[in-house]
Amino acid sequence: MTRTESKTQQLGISLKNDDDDGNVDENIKIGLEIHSQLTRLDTKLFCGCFSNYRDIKPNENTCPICLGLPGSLPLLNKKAVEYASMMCISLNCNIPEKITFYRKNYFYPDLPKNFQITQYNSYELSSIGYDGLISYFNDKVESDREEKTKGKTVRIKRIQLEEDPGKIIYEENNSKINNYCLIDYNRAGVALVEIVTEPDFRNANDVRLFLNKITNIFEYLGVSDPNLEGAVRCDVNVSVKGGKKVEIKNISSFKDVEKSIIYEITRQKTLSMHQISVKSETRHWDEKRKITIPARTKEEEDEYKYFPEPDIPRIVLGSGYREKIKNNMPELPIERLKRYVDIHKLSNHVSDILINNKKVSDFYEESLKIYNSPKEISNWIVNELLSKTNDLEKNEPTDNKSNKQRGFISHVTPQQIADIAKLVEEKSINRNIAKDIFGKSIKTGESPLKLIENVEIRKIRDSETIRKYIGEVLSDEKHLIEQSSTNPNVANFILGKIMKKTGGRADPQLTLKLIRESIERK
Amino acid sequence: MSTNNNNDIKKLCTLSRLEIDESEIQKTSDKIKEIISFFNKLDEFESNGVQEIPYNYMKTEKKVDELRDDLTTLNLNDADGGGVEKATPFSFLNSKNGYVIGPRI
Amino acid sequence: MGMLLALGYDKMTNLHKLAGYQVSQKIKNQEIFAEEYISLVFERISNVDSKINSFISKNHESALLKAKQIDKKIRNNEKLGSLLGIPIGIKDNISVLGLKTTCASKMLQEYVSPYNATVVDRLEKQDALIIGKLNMDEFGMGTSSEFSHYGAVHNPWNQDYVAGGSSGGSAAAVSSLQIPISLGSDTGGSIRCPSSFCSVIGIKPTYGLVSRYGLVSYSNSLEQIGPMARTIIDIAMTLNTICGKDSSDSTSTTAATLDQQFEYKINTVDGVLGKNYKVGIIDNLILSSESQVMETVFKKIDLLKKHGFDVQKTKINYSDFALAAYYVIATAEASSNLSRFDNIRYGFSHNPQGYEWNSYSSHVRSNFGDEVKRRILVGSFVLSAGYYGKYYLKAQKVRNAIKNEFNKLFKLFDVLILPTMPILPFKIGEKGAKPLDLFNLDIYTILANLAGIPAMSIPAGFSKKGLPIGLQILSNEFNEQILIDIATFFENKDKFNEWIPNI
Ligand SMILES: [Zn+2]
Repeated sequence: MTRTESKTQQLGISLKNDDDDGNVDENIKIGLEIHSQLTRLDTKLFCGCFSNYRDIKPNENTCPICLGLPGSLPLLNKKAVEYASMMCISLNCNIPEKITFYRKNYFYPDLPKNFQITQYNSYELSSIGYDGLISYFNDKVESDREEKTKGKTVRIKRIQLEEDPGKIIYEENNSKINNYCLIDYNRAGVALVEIVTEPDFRNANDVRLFLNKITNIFEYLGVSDPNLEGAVRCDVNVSVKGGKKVEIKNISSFKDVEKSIIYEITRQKTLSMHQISVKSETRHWDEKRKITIPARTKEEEDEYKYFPEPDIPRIVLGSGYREKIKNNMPELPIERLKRYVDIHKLSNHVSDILINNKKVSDFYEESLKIYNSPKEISNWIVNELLSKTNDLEKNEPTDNKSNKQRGFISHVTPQQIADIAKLVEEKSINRNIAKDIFGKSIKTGESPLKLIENVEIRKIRDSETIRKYIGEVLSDEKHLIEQSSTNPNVANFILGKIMKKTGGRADPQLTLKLIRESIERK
Repeated sequence: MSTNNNNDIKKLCTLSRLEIDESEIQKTSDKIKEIISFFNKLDEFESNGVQEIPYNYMKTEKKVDELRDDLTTLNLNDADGGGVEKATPFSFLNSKNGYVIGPRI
Repeated sequence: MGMLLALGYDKMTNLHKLAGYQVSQKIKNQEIFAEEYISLVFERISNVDSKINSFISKNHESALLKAKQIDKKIRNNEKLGSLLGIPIGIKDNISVLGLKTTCASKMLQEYVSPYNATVVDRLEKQDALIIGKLNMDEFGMGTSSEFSHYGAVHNPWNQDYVAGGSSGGSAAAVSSLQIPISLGSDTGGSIRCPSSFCSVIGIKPTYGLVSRYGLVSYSNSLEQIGPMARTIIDIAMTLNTICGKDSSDSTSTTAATLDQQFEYKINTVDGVLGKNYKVGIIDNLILSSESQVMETVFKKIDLLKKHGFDVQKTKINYSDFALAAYYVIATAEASSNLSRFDNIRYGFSHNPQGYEWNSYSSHVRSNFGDEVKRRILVGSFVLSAGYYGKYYLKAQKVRNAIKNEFNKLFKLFDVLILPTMPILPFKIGEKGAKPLDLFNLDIYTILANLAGIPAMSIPAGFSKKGLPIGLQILSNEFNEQILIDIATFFENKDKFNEWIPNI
């Protein structure tokens, strides 16, 4: 049994990627190299400069170490090792007992030392993670519960810790009119985790689903905020049967990852249709023109002269390290899902929606703390709040996930959701009225409890008035009295009618009592 | 290193980002070949019956707990000495508005 | 200046002959002001160094300022450091805040370090005066200190001869009585070779004993900073100051001896004899050295025997492979370490505007000296695709075998003895046509670097022509005290601290 096979058994998932809608082309192989900054660290990977380099004046977030000044030595950040380990665990990777760092030597002006400190597995198992496996699901498949097992899996080849380079810019954003470049090393040395997958994807949509899934996981782990500019970048490799592997470098948005794959598949298929062989090459994604273009190839491109970084000792993690990290790790989305289904007794569908976005899930948890009714709270979040947020989005279309979340959060507080849930459950307020109140609450920001009070003040508690309404209903629909002897729901039906007539102002308990009296009397 | 032509040395120069005058190429190439053939002595080492060792044996080890904490001010006490936190701002060779000027890519 | 008169003219003129610890004592006892002494040192340097060329840059103004502060501290009865007022020269590959760190290379001609190496911080904390930066082979690559952008260092014993390298400036400045103590660095003998050629004491400590933070790397896994001086007391005091764990260097004392307190003592000769050290004579290597070197070393061995040391012959295997392994590792690491010198962030005056990156980097990097270029090329070759196993990995295996050899030897012996250099100092310009001729000079010194063990060179005597010969002593890792003890014995018997060149 191979390591991967035993892992699939242990995780209880199928390695076979089902062909769900006939669009999957077995002749296509797509693999990813995902670079995710550990944005939640305070400092860089090897020095005490800020991990958050954004909004700092050029080169002011630097020191002798991250500038690679002569004589400086790297000092590995313990927490970076912990965060990377958490990512490994969440992607079911193995973690070795010892890790080593290597130098990847190549000349580029954004690399202060003209080598990058990274990890490398060709000479020994040096990387923080290896041999992982993770499943992800297609939305369509998920909503169809009977086909729940139609999951997809991707194998993770390795996960490695490395340093980010600096940034090169051109004045006027145009390299052609300048005879020099400008370099900012503020980003140099920021901790990056590189995740390398096997070429297990068959189409661009799956890649997007997978990327959403893992960035969601990283958000749960509290190691990286994928919404920050440049926090997650991808290299994609695509091959169509019969052709060589083509790499597309440094794509910074998931939308573009998808687009570049679609473009590249079409390009390669077109080439082979015309009997032109696809050669192994590196291409760049042209963000403006939305096409891939050949990158200048150098004969020394593969000459990285890897060798063990002599300034960093081999790091001994020890045999208990994985367990120790695991025990202190924040809850993963999959674990939350299980809890929602098993303990909160929510449906798979609702639980899935909640966990798919950490902010939504956290919002749910916060609301629960105020009023502990999973069913009611989740109902309000999933059916009311999210649909309203989606409506809002349709009106202001945006590509940006963070706006969506900010919109979601700024409109409502967990207190409002908890209040409305409480009103419905404890005061048995009519759901339509509750929705009405909720709508007002969102618009005005006022507490549902305040709003309901206004309704309460104008409540009809006068028996005579209520009897008058009952009389009206019964005279309109005489058959109700006959039905009432056999159908116990009639009373509630009448109540609904009266509520509608009174705009929900009739006191429900009193009205119900009076309805029963009048039915019986007749 | 192959024998007669100087392509190897030129490739090595490109790889190392070094320029060597055309007139010096042959001399440099000869000297480097002399050194490499001296290194080839290492081929004989294995036959000496020395026990194979796990590769990279000499590298020192450090426990993960001994690594640096994620603190923005490196907390180096007196006993440690350490010049990291005492660095003065660095003035770059050529700069513009805080950016370092580099050649075109 | 009353003190100066009180001391008398003759005493003043001989102050430069004093060891560091003696100077420090006199300043502390207020027999002389730190300011007076440092001024004399400046004078000595300006008189002598034109013949030696040991300094690349001087730090006289701030040394003078610091000396004045020391005098004030004494007046105010403040706490005083152990290296009070001692001027110490620093090899120019060790960073000193505000001073140029050129590594004797054109590539770093204008580079001013914005930070202190840990060792420099520690020296300053003990009230030493950093007096200047010392000449060397470019980036430490050489055995003669001829490969410097700032010209060759001359041997104080005969200025037609090389001072040895790569820390030639550090050895020559001490030997020629310009300063009592200096720091050098030793990758494959760079402290011990010039110590031997200039007749001073120099120690390469155990790998990890002294922080490398601030030392411009040549071959990180091999090198250490160490002190050079004319007396063993100065060596011990300086080593005490600079050694020990440093959180800025992950490779400092990661060994099992982490909690060990390092405090080296000067024992009496009787005390040393009382320790009954077992001495191993590395016979196969001694016999392969030049006859005058061999004879001198045997004389030292006789002296040991005469004083009752348990001396036995032994040998070391694999030393024939060691040199190749050493140069594979050193050039591989160097080719990567020196990549950062692309003259973009720092370097020498040159503007990259108008250049394309590939041509700019190749163009500026052609300013490395020939020896450095060769080693970069060789290092790139051994690390290039497909050759890693054949060279780098194999070299690590040899390194391991050497380490095992020493482990075995140190079960039998406390200390091992061999010559520092296989030959006598040679004339400037005499060697270098063939790279291997120079490599072969390192054959005795690289062993300690490969094994990570401490090694010391002490003055042993002179050739018929009056050129210095050094004795090398090795001990097991973190056993520097044994080396200091053996050196104390010889210093006491030979009085080599009184061997002074006529300059
Ligand atoms: Zn930094």
